[in-house]
Amino acid sequence: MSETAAATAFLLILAASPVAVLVLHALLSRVLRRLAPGVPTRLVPVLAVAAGAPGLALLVPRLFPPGAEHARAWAAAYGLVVYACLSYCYFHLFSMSESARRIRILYVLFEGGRIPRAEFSSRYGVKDMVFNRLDRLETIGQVERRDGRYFAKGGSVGLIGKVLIGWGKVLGFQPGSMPL
Amino acid sequence: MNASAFAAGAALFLAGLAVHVVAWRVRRPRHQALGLLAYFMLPWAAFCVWARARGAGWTPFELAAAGLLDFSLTCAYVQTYPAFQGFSPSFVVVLLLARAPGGLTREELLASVDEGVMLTGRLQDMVDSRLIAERDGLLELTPSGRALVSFFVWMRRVMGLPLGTG
Repeated sequence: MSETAAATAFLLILAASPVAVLVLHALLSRVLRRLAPGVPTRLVPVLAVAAGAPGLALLVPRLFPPGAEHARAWAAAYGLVVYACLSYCYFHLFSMSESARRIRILYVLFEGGRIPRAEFSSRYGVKDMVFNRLDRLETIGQVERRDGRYFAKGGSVGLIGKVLIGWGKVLGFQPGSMPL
Repeated sequence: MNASAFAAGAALFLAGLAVHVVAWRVRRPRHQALGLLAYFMLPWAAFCVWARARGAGWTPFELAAAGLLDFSLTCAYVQTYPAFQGFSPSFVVVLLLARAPGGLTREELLASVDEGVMLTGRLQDMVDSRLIAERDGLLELTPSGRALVSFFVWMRRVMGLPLGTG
């Protein structure tokens, strides 16, 4: 195989990698729900991405033969970045199906048909949004409960939140319009 | 594969980021997700036209490789973008708790959250993005909203999972 043909095949495989991750994820999800139901749902796509990485790593020396060390090194670095970015997107896509407000709003309308705006909050309101997240944050250790009161813990989510607020300001979003 | 495709992809992403920041500060597009994709991929399209017109020595493969890297980085940014725009409720919860040294009960936390921003603002954003429509006071899915939610419903079924809780 010529170097151009190998590189083209490599690009096509990388571009299709989210589909491979989806298939691995579906298999793992169904197997783990039967064999190990305690595994957190959000960990499964991470395991699927990790399972796909060795396949991609093995592909580089097959497509770029010995003697093309320079091309091989760049292909490995390039593949790593593209696979990581597309996997990050896939993980977010799955997380959206799990916990995004927008998708939950769409689910409510998908199941309920046409709904008066005034009634919408009785199907999915701020109470659901806040309490679902509070419980999830407690599960992952970002929040702790003592005597019925909740406290921020850890700090990584809070730190990321500050970075997001900072970038939002760069883009011209007004912190005053945020719910704080 | 060589360094130039890698460097070009990264540089084109940074160029798209710069265009996006300037455009957002001047006037945000109504449909922000599509606007983001357009602004970020515009430098790549312009680069392809320039490279082919000038005969600058870029092969179609190198342009495609630069484009795929640019696209991957752009998709990662677009996925993170709602957190800057709509503000993640999870971050709101953590930041509200971090600002309360004595902690908050569930009810106190709920009372601290602005429903207008958390729900009404999000609904309006989805109306603006034409995912949902409001007619005669009734909210309903648009064809694009229905297509989007159908994809997520299919995805959950493939995984053998119930619909998410939001």
